[in-house]
Amino acid sequence: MESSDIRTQLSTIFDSVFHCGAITITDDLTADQVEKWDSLTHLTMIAAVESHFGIRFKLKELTGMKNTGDLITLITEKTQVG
Amino acid sequence: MKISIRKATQEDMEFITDGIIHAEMSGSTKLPYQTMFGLNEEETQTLIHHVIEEEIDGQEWYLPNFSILEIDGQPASCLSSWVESENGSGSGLLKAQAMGWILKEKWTNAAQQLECLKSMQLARIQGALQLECIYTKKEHRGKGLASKLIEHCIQEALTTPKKPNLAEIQLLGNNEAAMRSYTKCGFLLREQSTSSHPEILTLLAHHTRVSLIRNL
Repeated sequence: MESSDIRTQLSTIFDSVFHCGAITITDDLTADQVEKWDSLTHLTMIAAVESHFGIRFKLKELTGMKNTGDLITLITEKTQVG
Repeated sequence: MKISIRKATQEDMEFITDGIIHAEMSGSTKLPYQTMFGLNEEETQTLIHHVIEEEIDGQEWYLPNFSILEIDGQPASCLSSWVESENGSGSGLLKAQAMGWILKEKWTNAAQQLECLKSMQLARIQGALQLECIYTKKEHRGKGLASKLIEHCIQEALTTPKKPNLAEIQLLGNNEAAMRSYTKCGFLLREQSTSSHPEILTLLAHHTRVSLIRNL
C-alpha cells in the first residue's frame, strides 16, 4: 500500500477517533498537536488502525512510535507482509 | 544505622511492586487498578510485573528509573525518576499503551472509568524531572528517608548532559503528610485539578490531583 493511501485512510480514522476534522497527516504529527489525542484516545486510535488495516502491533512497536511517520512506516511494513 | 542509595535491580521487583501499590493507594484502601479494572491484589501485582518486564523507558514503571534507599542493607524506601518526554513520547501515553496492550478487553471495558480519571488529569511538564512511586516502609517513616532519596535523584539528574531545570511531583490531594514533606524539600504548588465527576471517589482516594514543582 502506498504511503499516500495510508495517510488518506489515517486522516479518516483520526477524525473518527479525535473528532479533529479532515486533518493533514504529516510525518511529524504527534499527540501534542491534536487536542483530543491523549493516552486514552490513543489506544482507541491504535485499535481502529489495527482493525482497518487488518494488522496487529507488538507492544515494543507501539512504545517505540515517536510520531505519525513511525505509525505510517509500521503500517506500510505490516501491510506488505504476505 | 547505615543508609545507602543505589539503582534498583531485578531483585528489588517485589519491594518496588509493593511501593507502587502503596503509592497508588495514597494512604487509603482504594487501589485504582482494582476499582477500575476489577483486578485482585495478585492480578495487580502481575500487571505491574508485566509492565516492568516490558522495559519501557520514559515512564515510571521502568526498573532502571527506580532508586532504592537501604538501611543496614535492607530496602527501606524507593522512588522512580525520569525526564518527561525525553525520547518524544509522554509517560502517560507510554504507560497507558502498555497497560491497554496487556489488559486488552479489561482496559476497553473500563472506558467509562478511564474517562472519569481524565476529568482530573494534569499534563506533566515536558523536560522536567519527574519523581513518582515515592514509598517508604511503614517502620521507617518519619526519618526523612524520602527527602534523602528525592535529593539524591535530583543531584544525580543534574549531572546528566540534558540536566533538567525543573522537578515535578504529582500526587493526590489527600496525601497532606507527603505534601508537607515535599514542601520542606523546596517544592511549591504549581497546579491542581479537581474532578466533579460523581464516580471519581469510587475509583480514587481523592478527587483532586496536585502538581508540585521545584526549580533546579
